[in-house]
Amino acid sequence: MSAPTDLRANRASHSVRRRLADNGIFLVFAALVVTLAVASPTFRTAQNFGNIAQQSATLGIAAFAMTIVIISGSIDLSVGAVASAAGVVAAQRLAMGDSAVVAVACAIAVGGVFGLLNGIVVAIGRVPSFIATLASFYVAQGIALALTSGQTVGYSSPVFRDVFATGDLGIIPTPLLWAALVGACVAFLLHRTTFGADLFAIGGNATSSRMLGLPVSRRRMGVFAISGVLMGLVGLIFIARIGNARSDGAVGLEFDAIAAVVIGGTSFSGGRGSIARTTVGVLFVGVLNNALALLNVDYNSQQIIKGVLVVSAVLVDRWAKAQRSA
Amino acid sequence: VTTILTASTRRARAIGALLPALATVALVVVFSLSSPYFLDAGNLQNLFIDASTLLICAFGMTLVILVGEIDLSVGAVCSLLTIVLATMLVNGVPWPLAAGMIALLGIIVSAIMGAVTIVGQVPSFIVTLGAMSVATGLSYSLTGSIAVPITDEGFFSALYFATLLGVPAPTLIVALAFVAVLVFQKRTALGREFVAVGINREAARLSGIVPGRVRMFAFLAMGALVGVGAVLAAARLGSGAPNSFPTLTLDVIAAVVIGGASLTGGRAFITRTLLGGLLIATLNNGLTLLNINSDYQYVIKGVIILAAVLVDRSTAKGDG
Repeated sequence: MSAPTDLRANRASHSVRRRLADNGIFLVFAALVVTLAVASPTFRTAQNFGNIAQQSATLGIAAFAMTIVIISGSIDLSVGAVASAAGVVAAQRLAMGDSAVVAVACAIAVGGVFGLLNGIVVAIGRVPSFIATLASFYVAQGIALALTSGQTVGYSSPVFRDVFATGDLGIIPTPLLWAALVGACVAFLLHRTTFGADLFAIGGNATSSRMLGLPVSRRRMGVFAISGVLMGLVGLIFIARIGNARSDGAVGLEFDAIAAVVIGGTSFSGGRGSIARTTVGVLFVGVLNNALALLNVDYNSQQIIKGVLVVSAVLVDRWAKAQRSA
Repeated sequence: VTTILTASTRRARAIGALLPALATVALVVVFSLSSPYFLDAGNLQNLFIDASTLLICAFGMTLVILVGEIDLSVGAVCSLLTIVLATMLVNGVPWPLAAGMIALLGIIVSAIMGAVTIVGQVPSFIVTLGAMSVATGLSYSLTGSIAVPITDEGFFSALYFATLLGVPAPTLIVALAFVAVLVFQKRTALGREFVAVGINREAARLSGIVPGRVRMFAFLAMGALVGVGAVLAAARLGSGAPNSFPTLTLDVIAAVVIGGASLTGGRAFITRTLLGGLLIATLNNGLTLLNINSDYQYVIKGVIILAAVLVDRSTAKGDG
């Protein structure tokens, strides 16, 4: 083999590897779905796909929020606890006979306040986001526990439940509509506005972004505030689906959301990612949860598998990055 | 971090160093005024025994944070180790052998996390978050959510009831661990390399240090110390159970951060971690004595961590 052919072959294999590294997740996801559809008659029913979609709604919203946080180079570990606290507050309002509008406003306010505080501590206090949001995780968890004294908060409001979880528009269940709406808004914000472009720049290199005159602190605060408000919505969907609220209802959601984002291929080093990728990641985690349940794998083993999966996904991302720069 | 400090920075740092000690004294005054039992000799002895796992893990976390890493898996791994220990004791393994194996297992678990972090170049908070999930899942799978009781009398009498010159065994082990980590960090070449790697990994590499080796050693030390902490926790609790330490990770990070450590690496102090740990331990003990709902303890500790990091921010070099 002559030298030029060698070089060309080399380049070709590089580009194949690069594409594989960038889009491998789509292949893996397709393979997973096809395998499951062939292997399990229960999996390939329309009803089961409906279930997956519905169960993925809250995860989807949390993952969309986590996507913009991670793209801007931060992390939000408080999402599950904040969503739980927001859900508890809303359920208590409903239980006391307040209107659904008041309950919704309270939940969104709780999420927004936590998000804003996270943003202020990270952006102005310059505290690493994982520590700031770990602290607010515990604060939100403590508040939810104290409000409920560890008891389940029951309420009765069929309209509220229909709007956020149990109803449907045509054949589309409402939680899916909410997730689609949030996905579309966040995608627009991220990929079609200056705000979104700034986030990529800040995640890629915060110091140069600041030198270029980008409003780094304001953008960071904005990202966390959006994440917080969306956690209010997640809390509402959670309590509407179950019909009551628990102080730890959504705890653990942060982990699934991070899993979905990194499995989708959004880079942990910031600056790279998209809502489309996260959507695949969410469906991947949703299908995986569903398949593990169909295979009768218990919750604890699911937790083990997901832990390994998240770390593996980040490892693959590192490998992909090496391929791109090769 | 610069080596040339202005007088005002130095003064700020000195005050920063004194704050946890002053806060502890203030807490002691408040608690002793509001509860007649707080200054009771028995209670103070309990305070120190209860703090043993927290303090030992905090010494390890100091080393990990010093090299610019973090370990979010402490609480979950500690629970898992107490379960393995209890299971070994139930099956008749002699306790000294079982305790040694737990320390070894702690090192192995931490070595895996260190390898993925360093060789795989994955941020340690993600690796250890994944490990937390795995360890929690394993804990529940192994036990089916039921605590494994320990009945080995020799184990308790050696590691809980024994005293030397009136000092309980757990407190003695904490003192030993403290001296060992302090001497290692201050008096050995490898110990000083921790600071260099934490301040600037690339500069450390250029001056002939192998940063990967130093970071790995921090993880190994952490693993060994978490192992020892788990053994003491099992002796204190009398069983191994999943989710036994819901706030241990938070307490440990709080102790180190209150001790003035910078979460971006290069600055962490064993002695000040000890003070930070005693502050948290005093808080745990006093709040329980005053019958303050444990739910509020989450809120209080979350706020304390944030306050400590914010007080520290003037000298932090990090971003994001």
